[in-house]
Amino acid sequence: MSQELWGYMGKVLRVDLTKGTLRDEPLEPEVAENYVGGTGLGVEYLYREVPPGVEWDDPRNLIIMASGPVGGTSQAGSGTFSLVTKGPMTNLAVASQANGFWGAYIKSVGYDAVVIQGRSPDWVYLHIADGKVELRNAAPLLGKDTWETEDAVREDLGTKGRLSVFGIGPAGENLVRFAVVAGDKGHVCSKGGCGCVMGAKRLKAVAVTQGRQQASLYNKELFREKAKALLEDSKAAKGGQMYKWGTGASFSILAQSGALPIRNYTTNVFPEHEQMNGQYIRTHFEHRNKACWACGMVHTKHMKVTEGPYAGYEGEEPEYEGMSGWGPQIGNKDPGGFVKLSNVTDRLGLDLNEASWLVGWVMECYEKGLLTRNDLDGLDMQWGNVEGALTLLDKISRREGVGDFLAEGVMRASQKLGGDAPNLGVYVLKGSTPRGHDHRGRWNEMLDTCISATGTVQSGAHMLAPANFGQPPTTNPFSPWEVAGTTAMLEGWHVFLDSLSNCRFITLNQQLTLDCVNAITGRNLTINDSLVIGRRIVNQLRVFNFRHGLDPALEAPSPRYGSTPVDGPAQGKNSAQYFNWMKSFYFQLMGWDPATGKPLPHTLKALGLERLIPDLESSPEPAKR
Amino acid sequence: MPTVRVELVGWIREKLDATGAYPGKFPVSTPEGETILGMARQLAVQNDVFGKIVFNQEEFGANVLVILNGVFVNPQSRAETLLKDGDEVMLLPIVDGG
Repeated sequence: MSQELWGYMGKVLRVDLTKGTLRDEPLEPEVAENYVGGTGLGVEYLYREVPPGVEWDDPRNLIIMASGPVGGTSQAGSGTFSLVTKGPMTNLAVASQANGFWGAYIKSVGYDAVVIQGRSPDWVYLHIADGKVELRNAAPLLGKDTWETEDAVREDLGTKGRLSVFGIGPAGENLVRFAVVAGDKGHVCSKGGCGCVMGAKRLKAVAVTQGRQQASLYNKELFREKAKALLEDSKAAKGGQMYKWGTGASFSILAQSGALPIRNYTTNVFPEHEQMNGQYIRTHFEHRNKACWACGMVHTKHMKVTEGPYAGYEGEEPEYEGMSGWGPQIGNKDPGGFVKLSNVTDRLGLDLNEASWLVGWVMECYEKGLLTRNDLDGLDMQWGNVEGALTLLDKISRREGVGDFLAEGVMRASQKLGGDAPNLGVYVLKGSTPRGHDHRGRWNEMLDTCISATGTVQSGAHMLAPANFGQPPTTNPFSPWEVAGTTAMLEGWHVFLDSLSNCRFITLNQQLTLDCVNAITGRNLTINDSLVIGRRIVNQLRVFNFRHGLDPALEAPSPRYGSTPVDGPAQGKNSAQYFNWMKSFYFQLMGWDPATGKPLPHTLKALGLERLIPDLESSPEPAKR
Repeated sequence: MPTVRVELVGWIREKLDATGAYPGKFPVSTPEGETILGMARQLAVQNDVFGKIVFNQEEFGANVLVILNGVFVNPQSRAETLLKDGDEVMLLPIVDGG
């Protein structure tokens, strides 16, 4: 590590909401070296300062919003940041990322990260500008959705300049368990209920006015050259599909490979996929570019629906998961419907994954008579009822009527309903939520989702080509050996990426990504070095979770999530028979106890985490739930 | 002689579209008793790009999945699974992402 912190601002903003104090702290060079930034930086602060016994709604819980060394440079998509906290879905760690501008702007005002503790006596929002930081009255913002909040903050500050506002909607204010932190009108830290934590702190938003500061770069010319090559490589990747069609490009492929979620996993067949995929909406609906910071990929668009019952509706183009969750998952075949539902979900401040699993589960329960119209405040929740789903979302965000029961998320709501209901929900037994696929056709992501310590996928092996890491290719998505092997052997790369502050869609070439990081920081990181850093963060998260009551037995799919498809491309593929074996094999490859999943002392030592060994040995037995 | 219908999906389709040789879906006549692997080998001989994209040294590329009549075919079964008239064979990439 060079003496100068190339790529960093060298400063962290500490906010104590209870006391109303704001102060600067130096960024410790060791933290930058060992944890890089973003998720890694957040995990180190969370581990140090949130001891066992501090629950998600305790004022002593932290919210860490962190950029990284790439953040705010001219590299495409380097406005990404990571939010780390202890969240209410699992009462364990959460690390969630959002694209947009915040991760760039925070560095432009001189900070690498913001660490928020305490609970404000009154509703406030935090405003950070170059040379000026303040907590401002948020009472007038209450009840506003995430887009309205951004507009209201802008008006309150009286600025027309560049501003990035990430905050909560009604869902976060009302402590909906799966509330999100959303900003820049279309970008979301969606996992683990991080918006619920922000609501518990009575913090409505964190706004940053773009400043003029820039981090020093070690080799500017080399960085520019490599950043340009990285963008061009990303645009051309996968036959240019992402560049042309966005994340919705994979909608039909996922349908045809059995990985599209359809009617709450009751079927694996969706012949209408070509009438609502990414190619369809971009060739039928009006749209214009809406780029993130410095991005020439522009995979996100502003969109106007031009046909169907929602013709005329305008908002953000949904990402793939909005299309799948609010399309086939709830039996909706109208793409205009998923455009509107996706936007409303984000604006109310709800996690789109959890919300769509929840509504799909409600629809199946309604079909099977487990929930009646009377139970649902008079709503006729048949498959495909988009208007009904919109009404439910509004009720959930306000915890009104049946919305109060559903605001706990699919696992808790189904357990409360009882009977067969918990068997119909799609969730991980520890309370977290899969992304918007049918993972019965994508086993590596099911395993990843269940064993992850971040609240969402962690290894992300499904997005990586093993050959780029010097590993043999995979050929069979239903091979237990390949699934567990790749999930473990590629573990660390994505957590490392989430520590850099750049978009995953611009980092598809691992070597060019590292070339950029090295040109920025003056380091000489190899792919293996990056995996070591990522695994250090993964192991530290896991020890944190064990200290906070992780029960590895709950790192498993719900009965429906782990069921065997009855039709479609993955028909008869039974993941359940191998699931425990895959988990144990993954644990072994990670250097963890194959039965408990606890990191072994030699593994922690090899990662420079000796100090965690006594903590792990004294961690409590899992609480019975 | 049996005729099967082949469908190309995702970037496989995009890349082969560019050659002008294949539309997204096309019929292929195969000898009696032909396997999935044998049919693909036949296509690879006819078209270099198909050979490079879908085929790799006498075997399907590592990132290509085969769906026969809507159901996934295990890689080790491709050399044994016989095609019959009217079968639908879909070749699609392993989805990384989404």
